[in-house]
Amino acid sequence: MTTLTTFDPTTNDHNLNGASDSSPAAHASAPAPAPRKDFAELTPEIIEKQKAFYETRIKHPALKDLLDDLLPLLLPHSETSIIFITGATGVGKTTLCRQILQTLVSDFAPIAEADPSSIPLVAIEAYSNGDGRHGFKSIYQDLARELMEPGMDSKRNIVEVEGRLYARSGGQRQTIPNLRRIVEGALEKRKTRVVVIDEAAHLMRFTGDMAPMDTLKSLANTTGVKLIFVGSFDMLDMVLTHGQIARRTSILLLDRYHFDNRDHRKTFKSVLGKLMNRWPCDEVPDLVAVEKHLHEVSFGCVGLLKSVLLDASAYQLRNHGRWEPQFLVKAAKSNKLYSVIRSEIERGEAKVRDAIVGTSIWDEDMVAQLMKAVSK
Amino acid sequence: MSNFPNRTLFYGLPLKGAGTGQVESFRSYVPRLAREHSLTPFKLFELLYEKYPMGVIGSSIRSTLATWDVQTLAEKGNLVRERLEAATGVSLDGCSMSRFREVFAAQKLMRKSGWLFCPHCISEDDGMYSRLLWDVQSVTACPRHGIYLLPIDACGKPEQRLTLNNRVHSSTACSTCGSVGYSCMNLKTEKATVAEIAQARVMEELLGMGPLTKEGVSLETMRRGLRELVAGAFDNKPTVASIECRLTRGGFRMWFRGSSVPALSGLLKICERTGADITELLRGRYVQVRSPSHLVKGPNVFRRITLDAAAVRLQLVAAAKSTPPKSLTSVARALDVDTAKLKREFPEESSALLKACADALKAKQASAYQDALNVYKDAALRLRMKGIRVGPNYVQQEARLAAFSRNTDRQMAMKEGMRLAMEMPLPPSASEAQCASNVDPSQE
Repeated sequence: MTTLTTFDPTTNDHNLNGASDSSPAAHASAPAPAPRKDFAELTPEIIEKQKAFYETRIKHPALKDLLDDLLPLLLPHSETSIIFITGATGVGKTTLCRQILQTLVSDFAPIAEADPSSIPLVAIEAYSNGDGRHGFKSIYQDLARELMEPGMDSKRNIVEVEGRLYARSGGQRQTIPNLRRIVEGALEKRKTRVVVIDEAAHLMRFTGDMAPMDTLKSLANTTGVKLIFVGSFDMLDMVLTHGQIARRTSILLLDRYHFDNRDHRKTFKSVLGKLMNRWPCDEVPDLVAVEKHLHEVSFGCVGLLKSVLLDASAYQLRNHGRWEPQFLVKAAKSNKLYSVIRSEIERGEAKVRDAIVGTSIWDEDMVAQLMKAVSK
Repeated sequence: MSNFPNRTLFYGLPLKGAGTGQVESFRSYVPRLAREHSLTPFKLFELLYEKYPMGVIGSSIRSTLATWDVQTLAEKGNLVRERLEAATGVSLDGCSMSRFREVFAAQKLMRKSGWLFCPHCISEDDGMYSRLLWDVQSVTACPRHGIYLLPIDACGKPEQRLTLNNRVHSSTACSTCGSVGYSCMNLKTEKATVAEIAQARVMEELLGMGPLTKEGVSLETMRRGLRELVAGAFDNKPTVASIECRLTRGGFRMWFRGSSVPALSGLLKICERTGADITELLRGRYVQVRSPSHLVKGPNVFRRITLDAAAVRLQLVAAAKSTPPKSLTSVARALDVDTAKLKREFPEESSALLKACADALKAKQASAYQDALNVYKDAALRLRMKGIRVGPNYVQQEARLAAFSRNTDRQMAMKEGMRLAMEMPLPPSASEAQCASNVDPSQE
């Protein structure tokens, strides 16, 4: 069994003796439960330290490759109007989403500067409010808010029918069709190019007589915007069952770190190093020494890893900053939860395996032939 | 919150015809912008003043929407324009006359009611809009089609009247039935006189000018241009110029000396008579752009009527007998004389014509009153039969005919119609439903 040692960030030395005064042999046997002791008070200082560790974001090295795949798809005249970015739970999708937004904001800055009325990029989160019937209503309301649509409480449904212009009765009610009409108009007039919807799997919870993807597809068609959905594997059910939607869709995968891949292993190690550097206590456990086990418990997902370490650090903070190996054991997911997450990840990865950008029906021989033909 | 700071309050809707003489008016732009946001113009102004406070001016939205005084020379127009520019990010310099406030007097400049439109221009455009040119008081003709502009208030389909709630404030659709491009109106177009077309063209040139500071225009350059024009076209004789241009001599001399600011209508007349380019005149130069052959001698108050007096009498009598009678102005226009001249030379026939016009107007008003009375009476009766309370609000809604407080005739017709309906006996079948029906005292 691997020992849990402490690490001195100032010297980068792995102190095998550790501050816990425990030998490797002592750790080899399962530690006896420590007698209940006084917990440190939850002072603002502790909360602040924990918050700083919680807010630590590790830039995913695969981000650059993913952006390279994504940005060409966002050109205004490409047929792809819906882009899914998916990955295992805790792989860092939300962090990735923030990074994509930062990149796109800087990309669109010249457009926004030239036209102060334009809003080229809009980002919302599809939260599940428990009311499936009105799911799209909240989506449209959020979009309208992000598009800075004025006077939402006083909108009129003005139509032109058979050469006559009039306001429809009841047009002020915020029905889904009314909201959709308002949002479509705003997306067009604000010259919006990209809409990012985080936690898009929640769209699957929206019921009603219309399929969510049909609604969103026609929204993309009528307004010409590119829709980027960021979410777990569940959302792929929306696209993999509709041929019409599949035609306009691209899927990008944010992959987790695989321990059998040397580059992945190296990167995972560097992630551990970064987290150790930002550890909220003075006494830092040597996480690198147990990298394999941490990889196993987190499935190579940085988000999961961080949540385990966050819990372990919380135990340490309440223990007056003294590290004890069983904190990590406590923080790790239970067997049952572990197997649930594992099966979900495996199922999702199997689902997406042949659907992501870069995979095609052509085998290696065919690709070689194509390369030859193109070079001629 | 948006990822991009400092976004405008409204969409950046471009001004139509910007930089040309066919530039869109404020009266057209604001309702169009409001419609794009699915808002009423009133709400649009409310939101605008909420973000960019206007003090006491912000409380006069209804008056702004009724008279569109923001497109005159008034300072209010400048303030509102500046705020709307900030709220849209679009330059709206051309959509009002406020940019000319340094060089023209404000009198008789823009219409504040009785809006006109050109049926050809409005149907030619894909995206319809109303021109600023049409709202200038001195312009009565379309410079592009050579016809008189038509009034917008003669709905041809009153039976398709929209309820107040359904009406949309638009400068390109009939306010009564909502017909886009006023297609409901079956008005015959009439060819305008050459002088009126020329005057409209001069105005079109003027509106096509860029910002005056960039064009190098000031009050001083305009006066210099006026002096050059008098020197070049009238041998430096201001009196001759004023007579020829049908302007008062005193007023013209005051402009000439620089002791008062000229009115736009006067400048248009001068340019129309002399064929001068008004934009060059404002820049301080006299440049004749229209050939003298295009100039037609207009009505001259100082010349004698050369027409046969008997023929004029016949025309006046015929006009009085026609249905509806022609106006004295239209007869004078056809004879190329002044109305004052007709009144002076043919007092009996002119009076008879004026009386016929007044009688026809009275008859029209009486007919409108009777029509409204019948509509309100029927509506009130229907309400009674349905067992609904008969009150002014319900009656107007049922009749689909609004009785505004300022329209006293219609208010009276509604009250009378309600009274008559309440006095009428109901058929037995409706009597049960009528049990609950009575006049709602709160609505009275």
